[in-house]
Amino acid sequence: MTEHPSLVGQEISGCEILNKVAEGGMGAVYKARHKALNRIVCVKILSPSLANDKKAVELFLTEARAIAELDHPNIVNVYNVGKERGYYFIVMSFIEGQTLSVMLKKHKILPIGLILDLFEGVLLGLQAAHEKGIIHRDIKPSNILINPQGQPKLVDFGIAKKVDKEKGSTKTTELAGTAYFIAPEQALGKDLDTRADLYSLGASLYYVLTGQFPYNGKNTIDIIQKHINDPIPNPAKIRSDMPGWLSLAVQKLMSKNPDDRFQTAKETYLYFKKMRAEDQLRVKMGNSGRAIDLGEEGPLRIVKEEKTTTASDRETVQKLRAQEAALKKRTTSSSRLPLMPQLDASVPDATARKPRKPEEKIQMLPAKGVKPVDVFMPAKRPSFRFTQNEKIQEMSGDIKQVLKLVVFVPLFLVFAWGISYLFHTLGTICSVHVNANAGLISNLVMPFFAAEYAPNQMTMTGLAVAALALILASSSIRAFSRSTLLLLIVALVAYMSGLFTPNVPFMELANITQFIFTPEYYLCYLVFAMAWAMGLCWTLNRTVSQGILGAALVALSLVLVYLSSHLSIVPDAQSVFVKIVFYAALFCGVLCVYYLLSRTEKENMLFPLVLLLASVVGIWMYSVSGLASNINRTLNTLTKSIVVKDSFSAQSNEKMEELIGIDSRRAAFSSFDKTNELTGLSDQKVLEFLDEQVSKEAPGVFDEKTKPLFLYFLLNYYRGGESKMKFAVWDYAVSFPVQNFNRNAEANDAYFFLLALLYAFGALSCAGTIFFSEDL
Amino acid sequence: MSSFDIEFAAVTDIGKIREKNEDNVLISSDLGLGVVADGMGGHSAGEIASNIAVSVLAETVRKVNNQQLKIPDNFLPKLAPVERKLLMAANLANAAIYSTAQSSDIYRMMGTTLTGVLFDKDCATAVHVGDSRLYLFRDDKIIQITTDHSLATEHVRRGLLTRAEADRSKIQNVLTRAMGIKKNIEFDLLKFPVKAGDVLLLCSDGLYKGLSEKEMAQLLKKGHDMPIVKLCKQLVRISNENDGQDNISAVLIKILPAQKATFKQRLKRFFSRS
Repeated sequence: MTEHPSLVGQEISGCEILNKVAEGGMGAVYKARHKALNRIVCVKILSPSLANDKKAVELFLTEARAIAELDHPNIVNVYNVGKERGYYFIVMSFIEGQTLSVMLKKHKILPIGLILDLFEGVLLGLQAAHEKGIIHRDIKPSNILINPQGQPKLVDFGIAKKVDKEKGSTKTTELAGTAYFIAPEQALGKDLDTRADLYSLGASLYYVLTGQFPYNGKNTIDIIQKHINDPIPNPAKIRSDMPGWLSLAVQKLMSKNPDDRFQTAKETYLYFKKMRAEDQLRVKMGNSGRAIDLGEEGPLRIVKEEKTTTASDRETVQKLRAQEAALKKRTTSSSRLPLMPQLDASVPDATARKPRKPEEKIQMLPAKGVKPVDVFMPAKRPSFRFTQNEKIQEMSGDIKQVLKLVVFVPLFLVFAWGISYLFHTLGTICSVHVNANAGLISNLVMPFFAAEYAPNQMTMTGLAVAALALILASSSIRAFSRSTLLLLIVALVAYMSGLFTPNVPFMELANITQFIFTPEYYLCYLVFAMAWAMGLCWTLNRTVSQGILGAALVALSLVLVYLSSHLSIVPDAQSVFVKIVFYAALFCGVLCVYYLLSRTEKENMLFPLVLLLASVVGIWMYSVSGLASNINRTLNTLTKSIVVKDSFSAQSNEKMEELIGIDSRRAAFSSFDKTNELTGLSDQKVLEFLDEQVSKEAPGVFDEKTKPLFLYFLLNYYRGGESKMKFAVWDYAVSFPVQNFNRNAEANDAYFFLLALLYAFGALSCAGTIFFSEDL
Repeated sequence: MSSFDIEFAAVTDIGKIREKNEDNVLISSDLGLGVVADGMGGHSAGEIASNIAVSVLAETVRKVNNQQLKIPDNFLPKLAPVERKLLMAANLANAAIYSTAQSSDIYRMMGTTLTGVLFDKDCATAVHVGDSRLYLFRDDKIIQITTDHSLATEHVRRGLLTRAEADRSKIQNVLTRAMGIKKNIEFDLLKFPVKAGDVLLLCSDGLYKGLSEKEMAQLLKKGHDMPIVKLCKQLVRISNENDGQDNISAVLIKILPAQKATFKQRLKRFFSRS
């Protein structure tokens, strides 16, 4: 009583609910007392889960109203239908007594006379309903109630079933109708008419007569399919005291095809009546009506009665055999397919009727004309065509690729050549601004901030910017898309070659063979390895081999960094900062290797790139830290001993402010005040002053080569403070190996060797991109 | 996990006439799992059932992966670990729905279909109950991998109805198996190898009612280069335009090559850094 525990004892539509009788999918049935009539009634209440379903409610009510119109002694009476307090209800007459199925279970075997009496009543009730156009859809023994007077009453009038059907596309796990008694057309989901009820009635009759279901199986589906497909069972085989006509009538009711059944309940009823009267007559005449031979006598009688269905019943036995044969055939005769689809499409059990209906054979004839080709070709033809197309596509694809290679690779080389020539020229022009003492970074940048530009420098700079834009734009060309980074490196290298070795002709490669294993060339290999490693870092979806290669390149870069920048001065192991930088750089390198090797990290392409740069820069810095710290130490002592007075301008400012009476906050910013007595002087004068000072403070410490360098650092100190000096020192230290490189590059063409390497790599990358561009 | 790169996309749509969406979809590239569940039952119970189905399934798979949950040793010991994992997850989901359905009257009679596919190494393992479908699109042909658990399909299997009749039949909606109806139900477990280039389509009945297999194949073929989310949306949209009587859900799964490749492919990938 989970559904409406509160309902018991309550009132609905003037009925006092007494107790729950039954519960089904659609709702619960209660026994109730009609207060006004003082009569026991039955109240059916729609399940609250369906109360919101408008369609369900509508059908619940219409169907109930329709039955209410059916005032028939063999149909349960409906008194009232409606909605009260949110519950949809039907008030019906309450029938004491039991259902037919309960009765059968109690008595095991019911006398045939009683069974026929009951079913005649049911047939009359059914006829009344059918006349109103109502199909019960669920005729079964448990829906036939027998009142104490022995009158059968049909209950559960299709309400739930019709709702299920109308819900249409809503899924359900329950089929309308009970599997044991379901009509084949109902089980196949076809449109139903009143004859489906007759099938169920026949099946119920079979069950009541024999105590066995007509079809039994492992599960519901099995049973349902037997209703559709299996030969009609013969009840007389189980119950021998059954008149032959009854056995045949049951079988006729259970015909697969509705046309083969009795067509109406009335017809069935009349037939029962008539046959029973004949039996009575025969009993009176001393002829027992038992054990009539099915094959001979039975059909003859029905033939007299039923002109429309003559053929079917006469050949019941033949039909069974034919069905069996047809079934066997069906499973094996797939080779005769051309005939089958035509038959299948029309009637499911058409094969069963094949032997006995000549007109169907005529229908079959055209089917022979159907070519099996038509059945099989559509599936094959496209695939055949496709393979051909594919081949053609493949071939034309190859040709296209070769063409692309021919066009784009030379184009790339020309483009790269042009870029490098342009930047080389720019570098040559800018080389006048190079300060031998300054570091790499200031030398690279300062030409563009020089006080006076060299002739053509502005034009060339403009062209170079345009070329940079062109490089970036070229990444939109598929073939060049993977070479953007490389072209940028080429541009930088070409610029540096012009800047630092302006006297060497462009792309002079005469000397390279002698220097391949010299330390200066290590820097070339380093740049090359890094360019490749960066390319790999940039790659999405690395494979394992690619990862290993990338990792090896990263490791090689790190080693080359150490080798190529390693000076005779030991790194500054004293400084904690330098140590931290070193270990951080190592960590970055290891992490980069890990990311290149691990397959899970596919998405993040920028991260390993940053790691690689960080580790290379870190290790480089560590290698040159000894040089930098040496210079810094010397400079510290120098700056402490050299006396430079505060600037006059600063003093004058102070005086001025005092004069005017401005509240000066200068004290707070004194550390930013870089002005001193050297501020207003020209570089040349300051250097002379510093030279004098250095010679005074540290005589004999510096030689001719190192003195200008230290004077340059000191100039930075007095022009921009300690931080500017330190930057200059680090810039110098960091680019010291490059300066060596530059110095030697005049002789060994290292820059152009590097450029040549990059060209080759670029061409390879471009060709690869084109060749596999379909996949990119 | 899988030896392929797998892309997932999922779309669910209420359709044209339904008041609520009883379908639920779930995709997880972490788990390598795609699920479609189509709920049924009065009130809002259908969507609750399908929701429980997908969430319990995914949660169980996740827990087993993280070793928060151990599969009992006596649970179908002969099956492969993936199959056991998936089956146990499906069974737990069924138990969860069943107990919820029994707990309250408003949930009574609720149930759901479930079709899920889990990827492991080079195989896809599908668990299936009900009339949602799993299609495999390979070499421009579409194949239905799962068998509907509907009465109509049962009839087709026995040759009682043709496929065409079944597609139009009223009893297409009568399920012979569904989750949440019984305490223990039988799941179909299907394991099949997948290869790069395959596209798997999981869909509720709403989708295939509005789209024939031929149309699906055409759309999938045309949408070869399309982002699969877009393709998935397109499938649902077109089905909705054609039919739209039911909720429409689709999960599209694209198998992309990962590492097992020929030398040429490896070279190709070597140069790909998009």
